[in-house]
Amino acid sequence: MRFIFEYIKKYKIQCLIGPLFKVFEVVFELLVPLIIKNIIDKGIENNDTSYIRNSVLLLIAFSIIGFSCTLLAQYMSAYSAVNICSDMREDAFSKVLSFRNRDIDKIGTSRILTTLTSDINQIQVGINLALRLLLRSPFVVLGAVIMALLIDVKISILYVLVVLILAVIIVLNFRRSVPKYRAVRTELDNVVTETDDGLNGVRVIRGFTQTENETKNFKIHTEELNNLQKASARITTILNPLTFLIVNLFLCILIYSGAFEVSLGSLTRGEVVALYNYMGQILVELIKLTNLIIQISRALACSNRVSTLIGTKESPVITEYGSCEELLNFSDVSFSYNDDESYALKDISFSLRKGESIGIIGKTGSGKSTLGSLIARSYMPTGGEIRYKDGIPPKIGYAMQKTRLFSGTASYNIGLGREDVTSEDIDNAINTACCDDFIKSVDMEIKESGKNLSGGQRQRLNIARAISSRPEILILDDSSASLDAITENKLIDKINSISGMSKIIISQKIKSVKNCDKIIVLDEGNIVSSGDHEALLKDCSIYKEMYALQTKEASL
Amino acid sequence: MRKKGLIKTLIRLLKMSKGSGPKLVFSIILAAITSVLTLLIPYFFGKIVDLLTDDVDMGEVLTYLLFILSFIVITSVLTYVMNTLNYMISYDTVKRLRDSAYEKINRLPVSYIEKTSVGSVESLIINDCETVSDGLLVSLNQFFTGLITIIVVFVIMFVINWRLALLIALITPVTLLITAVFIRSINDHLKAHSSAKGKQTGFLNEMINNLREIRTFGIEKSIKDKLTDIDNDYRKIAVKATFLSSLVNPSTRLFNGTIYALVALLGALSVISGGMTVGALSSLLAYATTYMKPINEISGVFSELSDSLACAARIFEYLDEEETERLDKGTIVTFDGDIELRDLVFSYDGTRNVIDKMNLKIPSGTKVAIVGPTGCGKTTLINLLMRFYEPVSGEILIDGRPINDLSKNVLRSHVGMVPQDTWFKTATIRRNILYGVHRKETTDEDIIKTSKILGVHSFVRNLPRKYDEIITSKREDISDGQRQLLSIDRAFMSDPEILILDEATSSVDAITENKITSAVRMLCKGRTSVIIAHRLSTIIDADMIVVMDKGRIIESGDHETLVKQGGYYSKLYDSFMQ
Repeated sequence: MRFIFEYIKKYKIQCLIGPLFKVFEVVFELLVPLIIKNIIDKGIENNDTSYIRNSVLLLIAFSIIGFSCTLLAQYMSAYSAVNICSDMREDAFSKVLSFRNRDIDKIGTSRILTTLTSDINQIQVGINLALRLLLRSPFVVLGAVIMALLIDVKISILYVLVVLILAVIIVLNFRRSVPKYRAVRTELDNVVTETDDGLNGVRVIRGFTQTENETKNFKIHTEELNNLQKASARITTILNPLTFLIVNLFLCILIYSGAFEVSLGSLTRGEVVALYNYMGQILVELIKLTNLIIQISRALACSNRVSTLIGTKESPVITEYGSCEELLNFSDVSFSYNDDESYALKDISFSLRKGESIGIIGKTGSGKSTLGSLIARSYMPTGGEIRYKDGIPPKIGYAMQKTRLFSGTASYNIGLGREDVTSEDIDNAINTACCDDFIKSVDMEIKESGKNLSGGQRQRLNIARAISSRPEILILDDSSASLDAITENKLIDKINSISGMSKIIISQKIKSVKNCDKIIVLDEGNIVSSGDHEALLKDCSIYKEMYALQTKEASL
Repeated sequence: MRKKGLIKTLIRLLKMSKGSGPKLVFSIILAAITSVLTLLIPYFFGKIVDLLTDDVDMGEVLTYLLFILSFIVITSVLTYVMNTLNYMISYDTVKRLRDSAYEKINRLPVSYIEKTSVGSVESLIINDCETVSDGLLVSLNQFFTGLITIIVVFVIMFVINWRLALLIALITPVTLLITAVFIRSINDHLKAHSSAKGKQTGFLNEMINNLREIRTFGIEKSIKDKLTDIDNDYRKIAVKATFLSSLVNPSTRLFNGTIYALVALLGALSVISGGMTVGALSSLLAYATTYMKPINEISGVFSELSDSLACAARIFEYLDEEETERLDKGTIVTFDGDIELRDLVFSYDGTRNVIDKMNLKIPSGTKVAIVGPTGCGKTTLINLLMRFYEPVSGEILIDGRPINDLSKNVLRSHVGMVPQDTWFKTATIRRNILYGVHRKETTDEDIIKTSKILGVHSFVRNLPRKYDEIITSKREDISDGQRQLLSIDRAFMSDPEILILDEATSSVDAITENKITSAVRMLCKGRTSVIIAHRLSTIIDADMIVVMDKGRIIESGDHETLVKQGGYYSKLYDSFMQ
């Protein structure tokens, strides 16, 4: 609740004007039964045709004024609802952009996407309806009660009773339905995940002949969703007929006691008709209100999800860095993905000078890529300290191991709209990353996640993207795994020829790192040895073993 | 809106969701009963008003009240039943639609799925299906209720005062016309609205999947600005569309107000001249309001109907896409694993041949390595062998039998594949390792045994929940190399006759690879294996090495022969030696 109000604040005036003019509309509506009463009691009773005519003209005037009020009110509520939710969406998106990788891992992308799209859409529908009707309905009800009070105090007690009983029912129902609906949304997330899996894993699912199982599995989730939806609807469905029943029961009592009073002469016929009309208005409004309550409870369940997302505390980011002599200095840096004792990296210390190249090599799962993402500041260390020259992090170009491209042109994919990348930089990057053989024009269309390129082509584009901003440190994480040896050699030569750029080259191939100024050998998250190729061949058993295996294959 | 389209769509929807047809009919009948009963209440109330003279007959009042009372109770119960039926129809239909749309994924050609964006199919399954079930069936019900109400009210009004009833009836078409014109004029705005929303969703979908890249390149601001741009357009369009569509109701209400006033005027004059009673006037006024309400609703229903019909059309178009996969089991056959390609030609776009007249024989039990520059058609060959794609001409034979004679399921159950892109189901590691296992009695010991050989156990052991840990396609603490090991493990466990490794160990280090090489060699023993690799160690001991370029085989033979030939392979070999 409070969460939505934060956003309403900015549109205070619109959010006040809307319902206010709705209230004006109601006032004119409420006067109608009164006029009719006068037509019956005064006009008809006294055969006064001119009184009747004037009253009718008043009726018409009222509907025109009411209509103008509505116009203004509808516009204000549409305006507020759309803008409030767009603000909310943009805020949520900014928040998501500020998430560290581990936050995204934890929340899950399907959840983020449904929240940003369908949850916020539900809220928009809810706010729009609420602004239009939430104030209107209680006001009509209250107005009707007051009007009844003006006509006959005794009988109006019935109105108060009806309103109280229904208020209790609505509140109770509301409390039960919100959590149920939230469960529906959570299960919908699962259906989204299954759909996503089914689409992205199409080859593996078919390759392992699992289509039938996956379909069965999907159906289990839709079945569960179906059950939850029905359970949630079961609660809200009762509201509508129950309101109808209660209001009409009171209507019967009203007519009976009204008739009794007429026979005593304490009420007129016109007054009974008016009372009946007011009860009728209450009924119509309450039924609208119950429908509104269902919508609002959904919107609230959704707003809970949005506020949880926006309120997620992102993992802490270090902004103040110590300074050091070199470009970059790691001292005793440790890192754990789950913030526990299972360290992916432990006590890592090394430094990188300007223009220097460092190779990182090690077995699968030894922490190479993790070290790369720490250097790129994708993750923050859980222990130790990273320092930079003058305390300012250098510009980094990071070619991740597994990467996704954007839909758009080749030039967008390389430049990514960064201000510091010129079109000349893009051309150079295409050349350096050996992309010229498949990027004939910078305007070449790249499909979503690079579907129209081969694995090796995607990798080269990924490298072009990293070097185009002329970074101080270039990190290449296993960037040539899908390249054939000839293209790979060409690429290595070209990258080595870039001068003045410090390089971190992560690989499991000795060949890729052996020309580096320094090579760090990782094993199970620890630096087991470091030095240049020759030194490592002498001292490091893992390196020696790798070298032996790789030269054996070369000399075979 | 074309009526034929509506009825056709409706019949198809109801056919899909079993039991919904009778439910819908029943619900419409209930709607008819409840609206008639609800409408009789003001009629009887009018009767009571006429009794309210100086000398009230309380007995007669009570009789009428009892009528009203029974109507109320029956209506409440029936409304409850009707609403229950309605939500059941709606939720069951959305489930059936989603299930069919998901099943369809599995029957569509791979090419369709790879060409279409994941986001658009996903939005079809998640959003469009819901719009259809919510909109179409519910608004249909409203339509019928409205229609019945209009007819019943008119009849009652006619009974009370036929002159006034006729007057109201004559004005009705005018109201309908006004709303129809109005709705048509805002239709363009509604369409613009839904396309703006689609653009926004598509953008968010892509960016959320690319969050890692956005962070890495520090382009949060420019991406955020892009959303703001898209959103600014969206805001304008959405405010307009929302406002305009919320105008239908008040406009007709204005019109109704006028009619109401007119009825009051003529009615009151008629009472004075003795043409009708005050009670009749009060009922007539009540009916004039109820008469107009369904007309309002029906006009609202029309816009919702056309919206959901458009969605339904989109869903059916998708469901009617040509299928290439049949889920039949086929007859089980035994495989030796002799593979032969005969004049195989394939093209993705119909212009450039990615595979160009390829002929190749792979005897059962041999290991063939395929090498060549990126984009030369290696992975395409696997696509054809697995029948993810069908060749343009030529054929593939296994044991001398064209693979098109086999059911795809049978073919694939004999082939174990380690694809280039490692994909795992969002599920436990255990479930993923056992993904292709058909026999049921696989124990944890079996899993651990092979996992140990393949170097999987050593890292799974360190995860908090071990084999019960959920693996997703984005989980960061499992490295790419480890994923590849898992992927090999998965293929290994399915115990296939033919094994396909597409760059299966490209991210695995030499030591680990060396360790698992013997396991892989063991795995390959007695099986036909096709290996795509860039690593010399994986290629070198193949029985045959095939060098591909531009969809053709340019060299083939064993390592020694090819090195001596001095062609592409020997150049490749020299690059390794550098």
